[in-house]
Amino acid sequence: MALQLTINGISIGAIYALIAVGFAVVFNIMRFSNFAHGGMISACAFISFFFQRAFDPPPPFFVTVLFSAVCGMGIALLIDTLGYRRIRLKNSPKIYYFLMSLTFAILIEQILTVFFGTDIYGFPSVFKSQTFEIGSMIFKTMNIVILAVSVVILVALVWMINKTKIGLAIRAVAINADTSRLMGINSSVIVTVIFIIAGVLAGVSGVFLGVQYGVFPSVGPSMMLKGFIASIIGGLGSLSGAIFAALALGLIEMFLTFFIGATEATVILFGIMLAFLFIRPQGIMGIIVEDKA
Amino acid sequence: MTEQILKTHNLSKAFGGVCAVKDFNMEINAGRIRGIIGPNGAGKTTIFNLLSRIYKEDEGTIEFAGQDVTSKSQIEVARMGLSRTFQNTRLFVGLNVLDNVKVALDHDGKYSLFSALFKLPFRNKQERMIKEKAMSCLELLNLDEFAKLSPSNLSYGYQRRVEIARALANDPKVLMLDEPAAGLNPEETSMLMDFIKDIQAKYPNLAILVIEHRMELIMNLCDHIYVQDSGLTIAEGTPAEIQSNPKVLAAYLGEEE
Repeated sequence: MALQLTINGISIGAIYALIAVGFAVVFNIMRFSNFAHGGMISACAFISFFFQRAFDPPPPFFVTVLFSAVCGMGIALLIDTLGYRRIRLKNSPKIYYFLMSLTFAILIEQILTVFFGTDIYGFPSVFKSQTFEIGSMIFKTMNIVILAVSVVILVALVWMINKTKIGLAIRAVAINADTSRLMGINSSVIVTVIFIIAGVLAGVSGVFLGVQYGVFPSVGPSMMLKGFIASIIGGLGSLSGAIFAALALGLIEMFLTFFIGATEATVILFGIMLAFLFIRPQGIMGIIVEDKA
Repeated sequence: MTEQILKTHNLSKAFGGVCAVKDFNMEINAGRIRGIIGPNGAGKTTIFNLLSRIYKEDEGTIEFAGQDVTSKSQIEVARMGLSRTFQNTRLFVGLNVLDNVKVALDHDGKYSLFSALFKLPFRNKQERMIKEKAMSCLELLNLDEFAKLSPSNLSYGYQRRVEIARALANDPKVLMLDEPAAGLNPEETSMLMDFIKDIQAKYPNLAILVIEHRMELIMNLCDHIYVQDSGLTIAEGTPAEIQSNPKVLAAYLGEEE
């Protein structure tokens, strides 16, 4: 039982990690919490839901994930173009980014509600066999797939940021955009790259959340909160901290849900976040973030 | 045959009512070292900020590598080969010394995000070239042993050298040093002079523009000096001419000693 709970917990944690990292990359470069991320996730959940249903027989699951990732990218770039770009060009205060991201989050959620209502749409089953057994233990196929895909994406992202030239440019802009420009780094290209990354992450987590919890307009915003908690606990802007905290949150939530119930578990998660803000506001990986201040 | 690489004509900039730079005319040829001196607040750093396009000029023109760059961005002039260091070092804290230098080579490699992920052999070759280039700049300034350290662990003098290495990384045409000896002890200052001479020997076509307070450094290195005071050029000429110019002595040297 414990092992199954652990695997399910890590699998949920992996989705939180995708969300938290999507948050963290944008915070790193732009220095604001992009709450529109939740709206993007909801939109992608709906897109993938209708995409999956549009074909008979339904397309392979990875095609749906890929399609959703591409759509997420498009939505992210659209939000950037419509909302953030003007703020950036005018060098306006950070609070405007924050307001703009809240506006988009609510806007997307409401548009989805207008068209589809607040009902929960069940994602059509993706695999022929929902579960498989190893010895006496039963695993959900989807949990394992989510875990595997998330790990691949997160490893690829961390590798890109730490080992490639564009990753170095991203890190440089995160530390000091003004100096980076004087080194010939085009920081607006980097911002575009960041929104592409955030969009892909939102697209993939949208599909996974839709599959796990069903598709409804507030699926993104409600789950985004968990990702947000993870990125706070991990230290805003720190990718490894966010991933670590998200996996831990997933595990804690799974065990708490099993032993005391889902509603109470959420209360305790927020309690943990509050405790972290009191004791260690800089997060687990606080040193890195301090350096950037 | 040396060519004129950087030239300004009547460059002016005011902040509110304060005139920081007024009608500044200068030119520098490839392979030469010129200096700008003047008391604090004379507008020296403003000139650098105008040249590297941090500020937009009120009036005047800047010609760099045969082009008018007044309408170009910071990014463009940096990529054209106008490198600089800063009065207060501006290294990327959180990146190690080697990565700090590699940052300046960002636009040099030819692969995109897409090929970064997919064309591995090509990418590796590029990555290796960039690393070698960055290392050779560090070696030139005797910094190769610190490549993996964080710049915040280095002394101020070393940090300045990392900045110079970073400025050299993208094979600039003009290197602008903003008070490279500020905060250095006499020993470090004389080392710095040797480094600048090494750089000149290794890059015979590089024009170097230095802002400095230390007279021994500027008199030793530069073949031509501009003296600024309250935004105006009060004198220019060879070190010997400057040293005996009564206006300069009154405005600058006299006050200093």
